[in-house]
Amino acid sequence: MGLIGIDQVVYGVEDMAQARKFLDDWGVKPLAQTDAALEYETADGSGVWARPKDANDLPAAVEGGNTLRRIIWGAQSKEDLQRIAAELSKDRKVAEDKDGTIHSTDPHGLGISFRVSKKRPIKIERAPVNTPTHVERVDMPAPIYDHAVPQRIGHMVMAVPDQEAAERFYADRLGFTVSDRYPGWATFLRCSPEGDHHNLFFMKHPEGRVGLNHVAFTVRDVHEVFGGGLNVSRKGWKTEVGPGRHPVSSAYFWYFMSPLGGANEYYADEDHLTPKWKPRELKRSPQMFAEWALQQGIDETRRPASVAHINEAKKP
Amino acid sequence: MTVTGIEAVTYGVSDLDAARRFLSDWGLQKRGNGQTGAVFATKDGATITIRRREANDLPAAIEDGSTVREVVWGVDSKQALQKIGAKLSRTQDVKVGRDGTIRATDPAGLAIAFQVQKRKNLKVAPTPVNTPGIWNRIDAPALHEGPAEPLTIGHVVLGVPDPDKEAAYYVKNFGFGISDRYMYADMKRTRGLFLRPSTPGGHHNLFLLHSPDGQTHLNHVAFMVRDVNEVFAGGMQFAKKGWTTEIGPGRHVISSAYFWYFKNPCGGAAEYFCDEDRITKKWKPRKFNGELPENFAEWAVLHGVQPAKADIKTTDTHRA
Repeated sequence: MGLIGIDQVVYGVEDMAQARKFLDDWGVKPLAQTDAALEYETADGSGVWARPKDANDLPAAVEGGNTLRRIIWGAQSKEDLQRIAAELSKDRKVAEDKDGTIHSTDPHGLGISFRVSKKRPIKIERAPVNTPTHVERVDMPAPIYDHAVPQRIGHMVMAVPDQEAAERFYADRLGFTVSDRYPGWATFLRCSPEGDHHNLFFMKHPEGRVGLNHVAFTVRDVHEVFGGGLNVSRKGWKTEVGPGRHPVSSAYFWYFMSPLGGANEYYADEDHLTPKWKPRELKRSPQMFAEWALQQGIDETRRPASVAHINEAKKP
Repeated sequence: MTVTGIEAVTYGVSDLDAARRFLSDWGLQKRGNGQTGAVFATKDGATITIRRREANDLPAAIEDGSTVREVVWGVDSKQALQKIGAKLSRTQDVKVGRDGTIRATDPAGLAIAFQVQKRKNLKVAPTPVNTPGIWNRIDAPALHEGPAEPLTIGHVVLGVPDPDKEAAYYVKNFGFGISDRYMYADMKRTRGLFLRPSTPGGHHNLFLLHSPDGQTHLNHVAFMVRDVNEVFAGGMQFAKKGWTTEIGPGRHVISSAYFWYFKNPCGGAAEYFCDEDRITKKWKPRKFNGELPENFAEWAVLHGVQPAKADIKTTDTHRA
């Protein structure tokens, strides 16, 4: 199958004003901002939309409150869409829009749609990196970002009653590839045989419920994870966990609670996998979640203390 | 005449065992060990020597307690070394060793020496970095395993009574360049000077801070590691051995380096850093208000980072 990645996410929210403020602060670009519709995009044109949770053009919600209602996957061609439509219509309703986008639901009730990708091809330039003999950056300080510009939507994470069933649905029916597994608990999947470490991560919910965990936005480099996260913190949004570093996928991360549902993540420097990659069997532990992590962000009010401390000519 | 970098640092210490343990845990290679001292090396062969501070063959100390006793700079040729010796001996006492090493004392009282470079010029690339569309790392995770392995001694930082005078000494005698300047808030008086011995070169190998008490002090010695992954992972491993963070991890605005400082029983602090700016003759020195915290660090953590205390939350999925 020729899936490219996440083309759009659509949330149903209780408080459109809060959602709007959050998206403004998150750094995605506004295209529509009304009481009935928030439509933003990442640098590559991937959509981040929100609607009032009772809007009648939204698929049913997988849980109460604010949550993700639909995820639109970008495909390479119309043939991909036809193949997916044929496969899904074996056991579930599939609708087709005038523009050819097809709509269905996954086993958890999440709206899943597929369209020929509308992502714009963009060149994502990370900051050059130096060592004394590997010089990429000459007479040029590395960037300090005063806010993040999310480049694309990387992945979506959901808790589900049966992650093995979720894995079967996405792998067997939609052609996703398993990247890594926590046997008995969770599965990382990527939408194409060569691609990001994961575009989906499903974890077993201990109480058998369905719940959005987070949606992750790719930023250019590790500096932007820090700079972007500092900015979102300054705007008053609450860190869920971060900054930190995932051993699985190698990404630097920073998660914030989102008034759109679940959390939003900034991340950078994810592993890139090919068909040669062998899925690993991982053992769940806090250390596997994060090589290191700050639980509550970086407290900028403590920085003045830090400068006084280090700038003393004499060390204690 | 080109000074190429720091070849060696010698410390005189109060607690030899603690100093030995610190340098060993720091990730340095042990080169020699005995009753009266020890020698360690970075990957490129720069050496860190520790001696009892009362050892009578050590140069005079700049301050009480454990501190740096000598900094040895490398030069690119024998001719350059002789030139430095000839020039310096016109204005101050210079000792020339049998191997040609030149020894003198700088205006702040620090013993300095020059030798033909013995360090290897290591070829090191950072762990490849991925962004969508530019994948330098395929089917390969990027985590740093094991303790840090310092590549080289990056810089020495001193508090000195008169940083302008001290900097002028290094500029005039050894051809150092001024990379950037810290000012006091009045933007008139110098708070500190970042100096590099060679151009092109790293952002600084010597940083001279104004010392308000009029005395000379060691602030810290910095050790370069490969990349940001190693600053974090190496710092964590080192902290786990019981050593105290002074500040870090964090990121410097000037030089762009990621950092993590630890209190060092050899004297001052020791820093892991990476990803420093590269400076050529086109670089224009900047002036920063050195009293503003945001000019010291874009961000900094005061007490280190640890592994996550809890893993991803599955029960609390709807968190709003």
